Amino acid sequence: MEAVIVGVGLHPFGRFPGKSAMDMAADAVRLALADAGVGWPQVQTGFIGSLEVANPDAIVGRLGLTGIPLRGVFNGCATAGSALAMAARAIENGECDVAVAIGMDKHPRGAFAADPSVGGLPDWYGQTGLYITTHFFGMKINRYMHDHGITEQTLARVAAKNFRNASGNDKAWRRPPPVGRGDPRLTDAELPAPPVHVLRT
Amino acid sequence: MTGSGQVAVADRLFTWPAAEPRLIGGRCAACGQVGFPAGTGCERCGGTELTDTLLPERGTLWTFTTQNFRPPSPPYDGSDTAETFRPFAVGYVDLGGEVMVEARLTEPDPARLTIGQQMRLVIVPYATRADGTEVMTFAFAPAGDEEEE
Repeated sequence: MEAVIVGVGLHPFGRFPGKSAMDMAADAVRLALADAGVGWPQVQTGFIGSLEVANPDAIVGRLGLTGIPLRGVFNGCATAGSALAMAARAIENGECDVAVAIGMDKHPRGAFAADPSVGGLPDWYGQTGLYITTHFFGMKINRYMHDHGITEQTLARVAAKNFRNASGNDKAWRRPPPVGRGDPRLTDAELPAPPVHVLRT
Repeated sequence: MTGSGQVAVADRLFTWPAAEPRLIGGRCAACGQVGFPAGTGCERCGGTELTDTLLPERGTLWTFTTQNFRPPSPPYDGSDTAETFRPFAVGYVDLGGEVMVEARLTEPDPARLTIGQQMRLVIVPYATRADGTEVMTFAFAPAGDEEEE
């Protein structure tokens, strides 16, 4: 059987003080169900993932204890993509007709402060200040720019394009006033790991 | 550089104290792949017979950036505070085409760093414990800096 996406739901990105990631996800699921025109009792299986929520499948306590298997998936930044692929496989394999894929998360402000051992890395890597995602991306893009002759102005134009797209999306987190090519906000913003900038909005 | 009052941040990371410290990698007996730090399984073929091998003390800078804010603590345990933190450079250094190592760089000024330049291994303190003991880690310095020391 071919799997098709019949409904989607998205909670706006943001920290929303006082609202848990699980409550945000429950809202997103309800939006997806409404979009698909199906009720939660019709959903037969699902896959759900999160970094910060240790027991994301507990969302059934908010959506309804219908007895379906809701299985946890954890695959870093690709968690929701993995959940979606597995939900599609469940339909294609004939396990069910209606499946749900859910991703949720909520992070404190600032860089991730992770225990390296959780990522299979030695303690010294974190102790000496090497376990930082921003400088990983800074190093990665610097090499890419070196190999392909890309300038910071080009990066700024990509950022301007992305912010332009975000300004028309009421679910986007960073929706700055219009940012155009050459806007000094793109090249003068805070620099956690050059050339990675943070544009506060 | 050696002597009392200094301790390595971890065992089996680099030879130290030593007149010419070297990083300790692991070479796979089955396929020859070298990994750093030395682990328990080869990252290329999965072989489990790995022997410690000393990595070249010089290499070329493959990429770099600046760590411009104090890393979240824990896990970072440098002795600086948000007020005293000084940005430091980090990079990947290609050691003889065999293995690439991520490390702190001693030169904090990005204008004095260039992809492809020669780097050499140094062992430097990055933290000082309450009793004055310096905690040592590995870093890379521009290879032309010897004269300045």
